[in-house]
Amino acid sequence: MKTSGPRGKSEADVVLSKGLFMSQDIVAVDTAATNFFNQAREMPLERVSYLAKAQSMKVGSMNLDKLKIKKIKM
Amino acid sequence: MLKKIRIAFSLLFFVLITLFFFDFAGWMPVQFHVLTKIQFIPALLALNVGGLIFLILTTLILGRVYCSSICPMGVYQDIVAWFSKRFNKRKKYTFSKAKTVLRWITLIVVLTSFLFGFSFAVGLLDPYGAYGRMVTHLFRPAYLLGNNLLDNIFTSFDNHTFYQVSIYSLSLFSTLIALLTFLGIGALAWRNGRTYCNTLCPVGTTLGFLNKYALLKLQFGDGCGQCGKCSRNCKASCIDVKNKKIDYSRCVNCFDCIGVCDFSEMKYTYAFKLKKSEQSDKKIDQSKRRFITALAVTSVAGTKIFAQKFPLPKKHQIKKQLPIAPPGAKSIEKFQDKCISCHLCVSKCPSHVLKPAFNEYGFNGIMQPLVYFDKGFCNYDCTLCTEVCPTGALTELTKEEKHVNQMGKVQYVKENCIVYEYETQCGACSEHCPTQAVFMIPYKGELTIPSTNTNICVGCGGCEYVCPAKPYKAIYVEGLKVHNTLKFRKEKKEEVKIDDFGF
Repeated sequence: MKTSGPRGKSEADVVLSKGLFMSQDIVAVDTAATNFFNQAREMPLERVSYLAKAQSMKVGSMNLDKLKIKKIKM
Repeated sequence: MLKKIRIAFSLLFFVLITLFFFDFAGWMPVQFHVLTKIQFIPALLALNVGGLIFLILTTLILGRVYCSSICPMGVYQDIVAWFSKRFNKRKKYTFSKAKTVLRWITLIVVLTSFLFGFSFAVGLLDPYGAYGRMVTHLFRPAYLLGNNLLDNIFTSFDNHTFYQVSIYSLSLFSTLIALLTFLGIGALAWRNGRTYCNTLCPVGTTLGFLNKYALLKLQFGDGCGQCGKCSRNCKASCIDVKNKKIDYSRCVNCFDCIGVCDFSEMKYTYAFKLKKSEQSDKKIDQSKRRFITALAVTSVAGTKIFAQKFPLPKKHQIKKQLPIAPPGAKSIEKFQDKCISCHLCVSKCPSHVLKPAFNEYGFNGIMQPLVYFDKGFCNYDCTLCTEVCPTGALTELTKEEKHVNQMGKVQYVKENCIVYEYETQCGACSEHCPTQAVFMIPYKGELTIPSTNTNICVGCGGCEYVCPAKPYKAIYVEGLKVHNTLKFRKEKKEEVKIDDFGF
């Protein structure tokens, strides 16, 4: 959903993106999802401020490069 | 035998109509609304030709079976009379003279006041509407209470068949009118059976008139010894044994007389076997009329005095200029002309946004339903009230028609808004808006504040219901004299193809 959330007003509010994210690291998975969403509508990681806060509290990691990530396209 | 068939039909209609009002869980298909659409006054107001032909034909062939079986108020009176008979085994009815003048004057007053745009009298006296109010304001709360008790019991045994529902008074005035109807008609029925039907009821008078020309009629046999047993059991008090005459304008074809006659001398046969002689008595019971007028005047005036609100000292109090007429009303004027205040829509609304008006529509519209957003907001996709309305006061809308139907317009009061007052983040109104008639615009720093576009507002009240501002809402829906049809620009669906992972 790009805009007018959560109620929505028409189909123009949404994009069918067909993606699924799975991880044990909840910060990492949200970081990945934000990057993914950024392709549909501009959404830099700084705007999602809870990610950095969570990382500083050591809930998880935002550094995706250091993680082992399997990307599967179907 | 005929009596048993009559009782079976009566109970079937009565139970189904009552359950249709009761049902809050949606287990009764909406098609059952046909039972309310064949009620006489709703069919007349909705110009439901099929329903009217059906009712008039059944009356001209079988007699006033509408009054004995189809009309829920008639069956209610029979039930009261039945209990009264259980209570006092020696209870007897006696033949009384017809109140012809009172009946016709009531009918003419109701008709002329209706033609002059004063539909309150029709709404008050229509038996179906009056019964609907009894169910909505008296029986239904009791039913819901029973449901809640069952839920308490079952849940304590870890069975979750039932769930709690909230019970509240929708309108003091309508509840009072319902209570007066319940007690008044109930008391008359307890004492004298079908008094209401044969004095005040406009449908009773009309169908009673048609009944004189019915094909099948109750008639005395030649061997009748005039023992009077039939007359003592006639709850319409219409059997004159002395003269072996039946006043067909009052006979509701309950067939009780056939059952009690020891000699089978009361017969239900073709009318042409009947000797022609009909007479009417001209005597009005003035004291009863005075009583009823006084009752109406005091009950209206009394509650009006009580209902005067105490003004609250706050600057930005919201005062709606016009009430919001329910979806499908088209205009307040058309709605007011047709609504008889049966409150079926009030009972059925799954979002609890309908309640009877007090003086919002003016005196004439007292008890007619309006939309309010204290308990919820009007579901964008729901058209139930327009489907069940039996009188055509609410024209049936499709989902697509409802989406472009504007029943009210949004009004934003910045001074009451918590973003303005406390500089805190909100936007609940915009989040609930189905058309984005309320949208957020940049305010101080990161903050956004609501802004409105009344041209695309459907008036659903989502914003008003969720607005957290207290004691006065910062956003509300103002009613409209005439509902509008909205035009939306067709939005182009942007094709966004996501092929990459983005990280």
